[in-house]
Amino acid sequence: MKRWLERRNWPLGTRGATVLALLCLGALCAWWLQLSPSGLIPREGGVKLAGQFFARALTPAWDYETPPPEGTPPLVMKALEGARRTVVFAAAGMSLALVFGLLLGFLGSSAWWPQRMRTSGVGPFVWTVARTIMVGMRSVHELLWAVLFLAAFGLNSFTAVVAIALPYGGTLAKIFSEMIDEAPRDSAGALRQLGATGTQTFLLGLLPRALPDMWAYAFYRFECAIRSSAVLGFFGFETLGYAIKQSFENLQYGEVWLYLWTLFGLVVLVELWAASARRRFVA
Amino acid sequence: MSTHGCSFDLRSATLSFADRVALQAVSVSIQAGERVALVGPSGAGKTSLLRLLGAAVAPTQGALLLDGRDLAQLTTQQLRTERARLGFVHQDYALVPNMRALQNVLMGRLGTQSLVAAVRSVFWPSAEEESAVHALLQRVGIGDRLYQRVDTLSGGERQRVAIARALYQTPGALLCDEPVASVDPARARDVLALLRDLSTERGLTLVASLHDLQLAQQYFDRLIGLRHGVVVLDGPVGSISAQALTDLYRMEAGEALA
Repeated sequence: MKRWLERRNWPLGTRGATVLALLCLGALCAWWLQLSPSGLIPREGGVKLAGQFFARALTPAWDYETPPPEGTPPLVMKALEGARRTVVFAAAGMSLALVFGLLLGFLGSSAWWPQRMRTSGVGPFVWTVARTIMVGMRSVHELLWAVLFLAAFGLNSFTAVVAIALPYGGTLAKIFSEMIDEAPRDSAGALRQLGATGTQTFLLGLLPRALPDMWAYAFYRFECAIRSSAVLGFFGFETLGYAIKQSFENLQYGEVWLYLWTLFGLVVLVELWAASARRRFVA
Repeated sequence: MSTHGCSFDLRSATLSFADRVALQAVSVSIQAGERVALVGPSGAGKTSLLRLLGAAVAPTQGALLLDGRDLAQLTTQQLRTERARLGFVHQDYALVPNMRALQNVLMGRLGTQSLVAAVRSVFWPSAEEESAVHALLQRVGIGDRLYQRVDTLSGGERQRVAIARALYQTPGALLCDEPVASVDPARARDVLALLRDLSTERGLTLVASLHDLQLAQQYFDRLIGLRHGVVVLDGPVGSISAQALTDLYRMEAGEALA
């Protein structure tokens, strides 16, 4: 203990110095942004608005707050339809993201490339290209991708799906490649030793060790995709976000809360599904 | 499919890593069907010698001849075929824990299969493959564990799955790294008897590293003693003096602290 204390080069120790540096950086950023506590005081009418909004949290509307045009489906049906579309966009985006994620995740992992290919030939080149594409895909947020694609292709479903698939594919690829590289190598070594080829070893000896983690992570990302898909509604895609935006702009907070609770229910459902799938995989 | 045992001829083989020399000019010749125990203190090079014999690593200097063929002269494909004939039972068993015993044993044939055939076999085994694996698991005493996931098995059962995987290779030799290091004394005798019987009934060359000299003398025909990466004794069990064995494990000054 004494020895450990004596080894400190900094007055606070390395950890203490790091924390202090982060605090200073935070203060500096606040100063640059000219943050002032007065910004937290609500605007005039803001408190009233917030009060009206949150007051409806426990009493969501079950029917339209103003009479809708003739032939409009009931509000609950609209919420469920929005939920269905939200899930469909998320699932389509995730499916495509999984293809990108698995492909790039394999190519971007060190384990995929046998020793000799990593130091010469095409291996390092493909690895670098894969890692670069992964960074490119996930450095742009899905909302930003949506803005770009909306400008290029207009408002069609494919725009939303690709806007989700690209950043999610990049993130999945990065995490998958790390999970593959961190998976225990003992079984892979044993298969290699009994004469298996590199690809056989990767698919049967290494990948199964990483798969439960990859599976759990993919489920978590699916949950994120549902949220992203909902928010994409603000751009006009007919997910829950679209309905939320409309009702919010019309100050129909009861309707907004029905949609928000539907979204909450969706995320809970995915969580339950993920948990049961994980049990089947791990236990 | 070879039914005859493998013979090994290690000629003045040195195995060195960046920071240390694991084996120093080791010359060992093992005949087909021989049962050899590698003994010696921890860090003496027993595992390294097994890995050399199992073609997992190539000697830095010297050569390994398997059935008279120099492994250094083989193509990658030929080396793969030779490796498929060497059944290796790792100390930690090196199974895929979240797959079934059946699937793990089926992986024993990867060395002779194409990728497509291997994936087909592991995930959609034929009835013949299943019954072949079942027979092997029965032979090693855990026939009822065929469909069980490996991570639900006990340590002893996992070891038997690993032995079955090695047997499914239809090997010419069984190389076992510390097969009884993590089992209790009664089970240790069971495992060694099993390995001895398998070697007899299938004509397999058996090489195992052991810590327990008594067990080594009881279940094996020949002892090879290693110390600091050098072979210090080698001969039939009866010919080695008690003094030589004591010397093998004698600690040198300063070694106790290391």
